[in-house]
Amino acid sequence: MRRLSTGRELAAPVLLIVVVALIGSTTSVSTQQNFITALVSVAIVIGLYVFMGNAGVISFGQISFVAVGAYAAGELTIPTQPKHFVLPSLWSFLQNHSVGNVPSLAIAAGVGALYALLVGIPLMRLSGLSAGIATFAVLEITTNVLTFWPKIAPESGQTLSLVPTSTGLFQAAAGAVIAALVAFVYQSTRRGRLLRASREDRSAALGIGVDIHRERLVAFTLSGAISGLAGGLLVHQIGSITPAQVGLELTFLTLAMLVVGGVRSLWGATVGAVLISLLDSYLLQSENGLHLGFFKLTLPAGAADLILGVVMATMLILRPRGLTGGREWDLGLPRFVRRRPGTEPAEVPEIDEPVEVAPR
Amino acid sequence: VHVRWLTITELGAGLLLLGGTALILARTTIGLQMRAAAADFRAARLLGVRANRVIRFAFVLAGVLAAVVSLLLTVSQPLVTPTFGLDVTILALVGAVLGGIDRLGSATAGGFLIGFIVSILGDELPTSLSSFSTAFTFGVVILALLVRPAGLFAPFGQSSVDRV
Repeated sequence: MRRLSTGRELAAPVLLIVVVALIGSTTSVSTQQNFITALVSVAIVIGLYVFMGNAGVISFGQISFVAVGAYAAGELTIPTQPKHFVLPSLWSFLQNHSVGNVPSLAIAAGVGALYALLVGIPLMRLSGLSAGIATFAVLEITTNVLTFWPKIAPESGQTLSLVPTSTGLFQAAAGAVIAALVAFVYQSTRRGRLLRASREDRSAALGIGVDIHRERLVAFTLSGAISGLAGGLLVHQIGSITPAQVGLELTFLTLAMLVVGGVRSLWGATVGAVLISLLDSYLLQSENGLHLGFFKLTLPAGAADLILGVVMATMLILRPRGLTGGREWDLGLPRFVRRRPGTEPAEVPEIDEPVEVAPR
Repeated sequence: VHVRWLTITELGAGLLLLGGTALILARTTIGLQMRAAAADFRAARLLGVRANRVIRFAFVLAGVLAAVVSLLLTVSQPLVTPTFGLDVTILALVGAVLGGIDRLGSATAGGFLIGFIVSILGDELPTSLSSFSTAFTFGVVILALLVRPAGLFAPFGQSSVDRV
């Protein structure tokens, strides 16, 4: 019974992804990009969630795995012929090899995982604010190196272009579903549960013999793989990439999506990504005039960010634990509809505590 | 040697603000409550510290300090954009955590340290590597945090090893 209901918890995010893809398929080609962006954001935010949600540790570094995934997938799918011209100082292995679309996404996931593993081995010993700063440092280093090292990326931060645009609605949705599937399977396994135990009570988890460093490293690597895949999807959607596109701004936006949805559930990650991403795209579009039925909505320049910020702040003031409250949804009726006494799990009183700055 | 008046003003203002903040933290009730909340938020609440009031005061105090800094910053770098304070703020946060963010002294020392690291790396790196100074700076930050997660200038004995 328990197994069945947890299986249903995967159905909710997958269903939402499919619905977004289906609605997107009925819209015009230009509007469709908003929906593709939403699906790619779902993949990125699920990547964030796998680490942050399960481990309860903040990370500003996951976008660096998106970045290496994007560059790996992008550089390996540009045909070798133009590659010699546009990227003359590229490392010869990258210059002489090109792969197809699907292999490039697999490589992106692999590179993301490998990078996350290497970074995670030392960094997973940290927690609290020092973990946040250290992962932020990883992001800064990644951006800096991708900008200025011509062996692995275009010179001085120029755009990596000529990447085939293969991410349509189908590929974006498939990628998001794979991300959700991996996240769900992970959090249902023993590994994931051990990590979640360490999130709830560090001392108790240590007491039953949880190797927190190892469990966090597993989640971090998986998160790196999903982020890398998402980066591959992203570069194949836009057809080009710059280090700035996968830097600080994307970090904050995707973090906001995760927090607004609810950090502690896969459902929250999916909902937050879809909502905020669509809202962001449509608000940006309204700055250039958006046709809504009979009238045309035109927002003043810059209003999009303002409205997005106000909306997110309001949501968080009303629901500090995110729209989903950090719970999974098993497709059952909401709590206030279903009132059978004795069937609900006991409510655990939750105490809001600030982020622990230094370990005591 | 030519020293601009601005530099002296900045120094003076910095010392004044530092002294003022130290006085507030050390001599006033709200300062004591702030330190208590920083050490153990839950225990502080149990002992009757009004959490919202403490957070509000700390937030306002930080805002006032930032306002003074912005005044000096706009004089020394006359190009003002809506986000021109972001880089400095991020670097300051990194510095404070590097030093040890839960004490005024260690956080201040961390701020100085990150400033020194940035300017030394900017000057001393060979030209072939100078564009990677950001990467080197943050590499140093990571190393320092790995060695002393609670901050380089946090008192010894406050180990980061988990106690069960």
